[in-house]
Amino acid sequence: MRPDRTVAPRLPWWLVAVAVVGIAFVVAPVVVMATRGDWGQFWSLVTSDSSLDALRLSLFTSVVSTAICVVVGVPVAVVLARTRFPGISVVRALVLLPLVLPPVVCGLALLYAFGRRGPFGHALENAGISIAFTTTAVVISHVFVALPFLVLTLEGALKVRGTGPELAAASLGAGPGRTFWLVTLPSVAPALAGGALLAFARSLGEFGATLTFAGSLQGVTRTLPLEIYLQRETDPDAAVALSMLLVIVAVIVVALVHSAGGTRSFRRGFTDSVAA
Amino acid sequence: MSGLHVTVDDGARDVRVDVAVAPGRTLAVVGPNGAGKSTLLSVVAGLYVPTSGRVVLTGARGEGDRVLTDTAAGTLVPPARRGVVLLGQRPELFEHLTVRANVAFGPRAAGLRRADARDVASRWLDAVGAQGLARRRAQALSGGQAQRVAIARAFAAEPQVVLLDEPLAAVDVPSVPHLREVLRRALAGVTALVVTHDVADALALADDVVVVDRGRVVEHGPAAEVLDAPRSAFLRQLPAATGRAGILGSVSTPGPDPIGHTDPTTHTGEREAEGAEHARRGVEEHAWRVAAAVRPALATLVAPHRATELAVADAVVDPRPRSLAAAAVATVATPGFDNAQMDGYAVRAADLAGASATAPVALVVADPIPAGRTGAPLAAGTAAPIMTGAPVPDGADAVVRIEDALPPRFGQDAGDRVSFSAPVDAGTFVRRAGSDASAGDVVLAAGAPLGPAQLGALVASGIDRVRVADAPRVLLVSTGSEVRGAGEALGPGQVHDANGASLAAALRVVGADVRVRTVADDVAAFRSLLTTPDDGGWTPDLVVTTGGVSAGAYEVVRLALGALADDGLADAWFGHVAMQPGGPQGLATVAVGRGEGRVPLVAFPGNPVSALVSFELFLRPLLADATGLRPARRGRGRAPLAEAVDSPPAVHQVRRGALDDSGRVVLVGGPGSHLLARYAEATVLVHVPVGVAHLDAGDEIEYEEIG
Repeated sequence: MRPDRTVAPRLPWWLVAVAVVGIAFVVAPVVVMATRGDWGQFWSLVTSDSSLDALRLSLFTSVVSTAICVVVGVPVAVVLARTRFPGISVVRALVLLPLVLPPVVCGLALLYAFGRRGPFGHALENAGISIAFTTTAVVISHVFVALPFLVLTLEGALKVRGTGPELAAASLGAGPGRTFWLVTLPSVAPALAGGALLAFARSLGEFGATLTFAGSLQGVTRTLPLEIYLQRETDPDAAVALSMLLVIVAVIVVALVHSAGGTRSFRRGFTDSVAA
Repeated sequence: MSGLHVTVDDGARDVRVDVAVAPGRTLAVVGPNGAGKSTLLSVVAGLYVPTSGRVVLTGARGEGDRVLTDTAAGTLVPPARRGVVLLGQRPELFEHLTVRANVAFGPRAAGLRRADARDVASRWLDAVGAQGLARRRAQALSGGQAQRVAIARAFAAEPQVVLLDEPLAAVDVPSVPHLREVLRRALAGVTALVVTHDVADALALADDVVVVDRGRVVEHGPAAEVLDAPRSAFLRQLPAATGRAGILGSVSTPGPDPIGHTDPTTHTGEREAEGAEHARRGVEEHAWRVAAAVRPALATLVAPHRATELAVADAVVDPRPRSLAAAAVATVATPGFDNAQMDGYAVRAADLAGASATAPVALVVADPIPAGRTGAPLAAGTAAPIMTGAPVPDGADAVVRIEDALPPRFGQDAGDRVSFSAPVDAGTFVRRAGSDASAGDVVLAAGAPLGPAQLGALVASGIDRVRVADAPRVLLVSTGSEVRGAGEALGPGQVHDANGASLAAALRVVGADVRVRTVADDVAAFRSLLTTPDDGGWTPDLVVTTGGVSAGAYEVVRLALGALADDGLADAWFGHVAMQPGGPQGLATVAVGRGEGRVPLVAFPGNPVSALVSFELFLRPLLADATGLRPARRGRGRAPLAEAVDSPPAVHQVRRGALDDSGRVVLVGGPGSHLLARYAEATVLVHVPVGVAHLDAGDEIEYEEIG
């Protein structure tokens, strides 16, 4: 690669200094924790039945809830960004509420809505479907807390980009559906990828809402963060090992999405194959 | 192709306009900022609903109207189903798609299969000279390229109506003329509204003009007329020197100067005095009406199905008027290899890095490199004598002029030493491969004529095939029962077809593909010639007739077209044009053969001199524009008369003449001469404009060179 010889604008020294402190503040605790781990035991600790169950459950629920976030969040973002109706700012604030609520409160809200005695839970119960304390409950709580991340990212991108391309597409005879699939969605694909990544990360680390709404049942609702919290009481070494596992999984996911070219190749491959 | 009728009465924006566009015509909407032009376009595009208004696609022959917007009835067809494409200042390309996918977007949305949509896209990219960009990402284009692609994308969607909102406003100035030409071609035969504040755009692109000011239409009429004699304050305050004459020339309504103006109202008295029963048309008006009828037909010559591929080598052997249907793009870089810009030594710059006057560097002389041959790679520590234009050998990266070497002359043998007393930068006096033109550069724009210089440029750029506009097909019909073809034996009362001969030749000289037919004075025979041409697939772009246009009892062209018009197969006008010779003229559009569209028909009088003069005035400039004939206009000048001349002031008289040795205009033959033999002696046509009754010898007069 050619060295970049362009001259970047200079920054004030104090700004750089604070930035270094800030980065260290984020990185240092993780590094310190890694040094405290019993690395000799790492493999046996993370391959115990309960650990593997938790890892498997965490990956599964995070992937499923991210997928649901995309399917539901894209329409929400498009409607919020592209329609005008009175009270839209209230709707937007409500949709983004889980961002600011403590996760425990989210869990409680879900429990009252979907629990056995909640209005939705009761109806589902009558239909023979029980949600509380199942893997489904884990996914529901993940979607609930992760959805705003995707919506926020996507809506911002849509607003910045404006409606010029959509108007052009309509003028060329493309109906709303065709315009959405071939113009709107591909043009915000990078934001969608970014939003999905955020949602996945939020989902992977989700603890409070899951514990409150879904409980902690090994292999069913006990995700990796719950397992870590449980192990911390009895076996701190195992907790650290599992924490490191979570760090590694997160790093791998981020790296995968980036190296797959995430944004660009996804966008190009998708649209060219459809458009012409 | 539909027409368009828009009425807007909008209180909120204070816009009240009523505008109609006939099918296939382009209407320019000009006016100052804030005049309501963009509101008008938004209403047509369905992006703005006025407080009161209607937008109707008016069906061509036989088809019904289609209401797009009607505030009274609450109708609003959504943008995607209006058949109206809006092209704005900004291209708004889909940046995540390739250029071709952008252009194919409309056809795909219309339901074309992928392969067909790509074909359509390729043809339009060809038409706008952007074929080299097909695989690029839209986001990688320059502004001019992007707008060109946006034009292709808009027209590829095959809309009923095209809306252009200042289409050239955001384009770099150097790209404007080419893009304007691209647009002019694309607009031929398309119903369109062009909003512009640039008179040059209006003249080049539009058939008609409306001037909108403060929400009201203040002026309306044919483009050439309105812009030539503006009445509104807005047009008057525009600089008169926007190069109008030049632009008028390029849109080829014959310039006003030699022809003069005819304001019908001022001639009413004379008309009545002459007892003429027909409304008399000015020469200029007839010229632009002919242009408006003929130009759309000629515009199809560059359409993908008509344009043909031509080997440049064949064009060189058989030069004739031709123009490019698509831009010619260089296939090789020029120069094709790094070569020396000076006579001197090819060296490695690194070898001379430490050279100075006090410590010159000596290099071993290698074998010399003459032009036209490739030398061996240059070894380090050596310098190869090189001549201007010769390929710089591998390894060498600079040329030192012979006068900067020691000794400063050639003649050293290989193995001798040559010294240099200064370092040299890499690249010095080396013309890099591709520095003139790189592969993919546009060498000639679409529409360029293929003359000697252009053919040379194509060969130099390694282009061996180009797409050229098809030759216009002209069906030339001589009418008259007494007419016999050239060379046939004459019976009593019969004459040879001088019209057919002279007009066919004139048409071929400008590059037309001509078929000549003679028809007796028989309406049925004339009709059947038009309705059942026996020319296996050859359908004319233009029909030219001679004779049969006067007010006589048996005027076959008039009668036949009248009958065709009654059957809904033609629209025709016959009448008098204020010119001498050549007063009786006709203009029509007529259904020919089984073709779906109409073909323009221009009817000239039967008198051979009149027919030829009419051709010069009305058809030659249009055909020259279409075929790429150069020069496209006859040379014009002014010279003193050698003799006095009289002319009826109500008509534009066209006399034949020649320039004598002292540069004065001598007239050849009388004003009403029917003798083609005298015309044949003439070298100039002399224009005596309307309003001039007498000129003395020595008075200056406008002439036009014909021989």
